[in-house]
Amino acid sequence: MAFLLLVATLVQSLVPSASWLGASKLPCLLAVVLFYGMTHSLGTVVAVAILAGIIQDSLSLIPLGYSAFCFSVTGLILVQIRGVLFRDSVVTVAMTGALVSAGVVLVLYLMLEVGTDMAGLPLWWVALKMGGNAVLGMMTAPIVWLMAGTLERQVGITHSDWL
Amino acid sequence: MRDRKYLLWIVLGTFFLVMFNLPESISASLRGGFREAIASYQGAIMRALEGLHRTSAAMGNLTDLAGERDRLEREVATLRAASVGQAQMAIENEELRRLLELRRRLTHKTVACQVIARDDGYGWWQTLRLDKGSEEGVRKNQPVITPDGLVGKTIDVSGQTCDVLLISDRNFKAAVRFEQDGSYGILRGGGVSLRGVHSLGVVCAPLPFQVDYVRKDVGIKPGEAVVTSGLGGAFPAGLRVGQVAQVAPDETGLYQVATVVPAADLERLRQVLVVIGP
Repeated sequence: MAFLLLVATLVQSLVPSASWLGASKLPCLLAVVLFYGMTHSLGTVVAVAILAGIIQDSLSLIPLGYSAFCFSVTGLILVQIRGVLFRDSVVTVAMTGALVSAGVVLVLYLMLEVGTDMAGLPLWWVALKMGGNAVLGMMTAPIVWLMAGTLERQVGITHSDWL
Repeated sequence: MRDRKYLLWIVLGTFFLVMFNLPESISASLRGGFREAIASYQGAIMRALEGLHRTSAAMGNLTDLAGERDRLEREVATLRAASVGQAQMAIENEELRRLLELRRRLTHKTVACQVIARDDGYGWWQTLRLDKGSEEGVRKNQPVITPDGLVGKTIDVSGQTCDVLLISDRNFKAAVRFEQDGSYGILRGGGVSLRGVHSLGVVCAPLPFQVDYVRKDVGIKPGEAVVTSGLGGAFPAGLRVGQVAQVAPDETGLYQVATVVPAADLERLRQVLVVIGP
């Protein structure tokens, strides 16, 4: 878990953003939360979500706890709905990645607007950022899923252990 | 089982309530701890990426050369590649030399820093991360400059790193003065352009800044230099910010608004100076 979070953090912070995607960064930390949310117990999901969120907030100017809150809610929702999802399908993972990425951007924007003195961003920019994050989430989630799954199998956690 | 779920909700709710209301000092030290834990990795990877970027630039030029002059001998191509490498080194040397000259010229105390990461972790703000922090005397809200002009201000500082809010960010504001005319205004960042080239060495092309609240009876001309005014005490007076591209009346008709092109090359910052004191 710690290794996954470290790699995700480095990739997310170092890969440059593109302005035509709303300056969105690769949502690697969220993709790790998504993986854990779909495959691990509730306690682990909450722990990973809080840790990933605090790391993301530390790398950014977002007040501490905002991303952790969004990630935790995402993790809890995933735990509730994962029983009805085809978890092994790449399409499911990609679509879920896109949806949660866009959703987290929207919730974070609302929290930042209400909770901070951030200059009002134009709504078209927020929409662009949601779209950009959805695209990047769709691409990132299956890759992180594949890497995390492979890593867990290497260290002895198999798919039969999934809850 | 149901009771345990309720307990989890209560614990989580309490946790976030505490997190959102953490005192600034605890919050800052927590952030600083996490940031510094990964700063060394970021610095190492950034240096490796710059090396890769330099090599790829040299190889790109080599390919062009081969395409354009496919009849030239291999020796010529090799020499050209070597000269490209030297040119890259010369550019870097020039940047450092100018930084050193600026440091000698300035009457203020400065700290030279290297950029170790670009953009904030989630893309809401335009920031840089530098490799120096409070241990080198860097504090919050100090100006960050290059020989070309103002780059931004420090916004979050830990022991060995600091984050800089770029002047192109919409949240950045500074009191400025038009150099020839002497009139004042408030500068704010314009955000980033949706077009422009993106590569390893480039962040996002910044849009021109806007200077608001300029008196409408003053005659500002395109090309006029804009410098910090020193009013408010946030920035020392006379730091170059950019030059006027165009002037127009604002929406209310009471003031003028000037569009200003940044003086510093914000897209390719590698070394900067933080002004830490008078």
